[in-house]
Amino acid sequence: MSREFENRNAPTIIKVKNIHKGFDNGAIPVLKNVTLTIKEGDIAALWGSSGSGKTTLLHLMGGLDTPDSGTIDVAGLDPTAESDRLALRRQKVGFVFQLHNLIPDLTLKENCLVTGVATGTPKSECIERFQVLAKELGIDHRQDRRIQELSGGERQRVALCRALMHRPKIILADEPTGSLDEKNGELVFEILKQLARRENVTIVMATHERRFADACDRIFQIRNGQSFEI
Amino acid sequence: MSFLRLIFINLTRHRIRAIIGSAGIAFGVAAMLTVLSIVLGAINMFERILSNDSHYLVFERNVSDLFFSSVPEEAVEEIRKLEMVEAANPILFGLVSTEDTPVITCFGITNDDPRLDDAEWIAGDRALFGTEPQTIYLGSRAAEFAEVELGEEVPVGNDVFIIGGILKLENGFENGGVFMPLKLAQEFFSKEGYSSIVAVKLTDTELGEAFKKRVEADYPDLIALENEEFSQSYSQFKILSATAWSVGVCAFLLGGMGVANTMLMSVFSRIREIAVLRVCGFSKRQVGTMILGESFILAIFGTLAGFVFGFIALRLMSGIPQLNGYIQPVFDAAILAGVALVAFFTSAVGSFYPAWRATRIQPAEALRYE
Ligand SMILES: Nc1ncnc2c1ncn2[C@@H]1O[C@H](COP(=O)(O)OP(=O)(O)OP(=O)(O)O)[C@@H](O)[C@H]1O
Ligand SMILES: [Mg+2]
Repeated sequence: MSREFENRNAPTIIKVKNIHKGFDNGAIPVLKNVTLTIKEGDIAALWGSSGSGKTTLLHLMGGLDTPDSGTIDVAGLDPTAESDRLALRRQKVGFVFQLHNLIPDLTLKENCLVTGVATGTPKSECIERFQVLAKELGIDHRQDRRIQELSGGERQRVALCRALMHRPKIILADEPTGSLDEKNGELVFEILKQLARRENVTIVMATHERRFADACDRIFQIRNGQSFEI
Repeated sequence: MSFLRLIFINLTRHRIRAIIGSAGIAFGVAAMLTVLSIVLGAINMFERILSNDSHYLVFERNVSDLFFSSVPEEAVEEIRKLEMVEAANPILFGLVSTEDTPVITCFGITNDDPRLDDAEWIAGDRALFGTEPQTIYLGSRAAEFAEVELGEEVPVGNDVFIIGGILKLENGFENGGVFMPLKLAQEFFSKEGYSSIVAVKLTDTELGEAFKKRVEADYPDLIALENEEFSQSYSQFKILSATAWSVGVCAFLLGGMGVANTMLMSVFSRIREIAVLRVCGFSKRQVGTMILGESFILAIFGTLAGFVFGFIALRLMSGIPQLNGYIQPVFDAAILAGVALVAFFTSAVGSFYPAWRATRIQPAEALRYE
C-alpha cells in the first residue's frame, strides 16, 4: 500500500466528520458516520461496490448535496453551506463524471470555456490556459470539433480539461474511466495523475475497480455506509 | 466564448423550437400592428374628414355616433354670423347602398365646402355643383369600384341619380364616398333642415374658448369641440382603439404562451446540462439570466419578423380594391415602440416560470437523471 504519503506533513485539505446521509427521509440510509481526512496533493480513491455511496460522498464534498448531519471542510470552505458553494465550485473544486457530461453542439474548446463564462474570467486568460491544457491532454488538434465528433476517450480528456480550467485545488472524479475501455481508461487515469502531480492538485476519485484504487496514494473503502482507510 | 454567445448557441441548437417560439411573438406583433394600423389609420382619416380646413366641430350633445347628430340650419346661420367665425360648413353624413356595395358613406355638403376646391376633378365641372337636379358626385375610388362614368344614371337606394362629376380626394374615406349637395342629401335622408355637424373655421384660433362658450350658451343642445378635443372624446374612436389594443393583446397572450411553452420544453430537455453548468460554477442567477436571455433573443427576432410580416400584410391589404384607400398604415415610431414593448413584456412574463424552474434544478439529483 502507498504508506509513503501517510507521514507527509502536507496540510489537510478535506476534512469529513461524522457524516450521515440517507435518501427518502432516511428510509434509505447510505452514509452512516463517515469520517476521513485528505491532505493536499493526495491522490485518493473512494473504493467500494456499486451502491455503496461513493457518488453520494463526492456530491457532498462538492456541495452538490447536503448531509443529514456531520461537518465537511473543503479547502477552508463549507460545502454544506449554500453561501460557500459557489466559491467552492468556482475556485476550489473541479468535477469529472463517468459520463463526460459535456454540452453537445458546443465545440471542444467552448465546452472548456464554460467555467470562465461562469466566473467572468477574461477570455484571453481562459484561452491561454486552455491551449496549455489541451496540448498536455493531447486534444489541441481537435479543439474546434463538436463533442459529437469526438471519441469516448477524447471526450473524457475534454472533461478533464474543463475540470482543470479554473486551476482548482481539488478534482472530484466519479468513475472517470468507467465508460472507457481498459486501454483508454488507463490512459485517462495516467494523464489525470500526471497533471495533478504537476499542478499539485488533490484528487478524490470514486471507483469500484481495485486496480485503479491500487494506483492511488490512498484508498478509502466505502462499506456499510462507513469509510475505512486501507 | 461569452455569456451572450452561450445564449445564442443554445438557441441555434434547437432551431425549430426557437423558430416556433419566435413565430408566436411574430404573429402577435404582426396582428397587433395590422389591427392598430387599420383602426388608427381609419380614425385618422375620419378625423381629417371632420377637421378639413376647420378648427372647431359643432354637433349635437350626447350622441353616440355623429351619424345620429342633428344640427338645425338656423344654428348654422347664426354661427356664420358670429364675428369670430370665418367660415362654417355644414355636413350631413349618411350611408347609402348600391347593388354591389352595401355601405357607402355619403357626404351632404354645400357649394362653398373647401373640399370641392381641394379635390382634383377627374370628370365633371366644379362650377356646376349643386345646380343640376338629381345629380351626385363620386370619389374616384367609389367611381372605379362602381364602374360608372360621367353622365351615367345609377340607382341608389330607391332613387336614380345622375353622375355629375368624379373627384379625386386625398382622404381615403372621402375618395370612396358619394357627395351630394346638402339640399339633396337632406331630402334623400329625410333630414330636411338639418346637418350632422358644422365644421367651423375661426378668424383667429385665440378666439376658440369664446366661440365655444357662445355656441353652447345659445344652443344648449349643441356642443363645440376643438378638433383635437373631439378626437379624444369621441366614443366611437375610443371603442375602436380599445378594440384594436385588446385584439393585439390577445394575440400577444398566445405569443407569450408560445414562448413559455418553448422555453419550458427547452429547460426540461436540458436538466442535466443545466446541472453541469451549475457544477461548472454557474450561479442560480446566471442560469435564470441565461433562460431569460434566450427568450429575450426570441422576442427580438419575433418582433423584427412581426414587423416584416405586418408590413407585408398591410401592403397586401392595401392592394385589395375593396379596401383601397381605407387602409392607411400608421407606422409611427411610438406605435412600433409600443408594440415592441408589449412583445418584450409578454416574452419576459412567458419565460419567467421556465427561468425560475431552471434555477430550481438540483445538481445532485439532475446528474443521476438519465
Ligand atoms: N436521489 C436518490 N433517492 C433515493 N436513493 C438514492 C438517491 N441517490 C442515490 N440513492 C441510493 O443511494 C445509494 C448509494 O448511491 P451512490 O450513487 O452513491 O452509489 P455508488 O457507490 O456511487 O454506486 P455506483 O458504483 O453504482 O456508482 C444507492 O443505493 C442508491 O440507490
Ligand atoms: Mg456512483
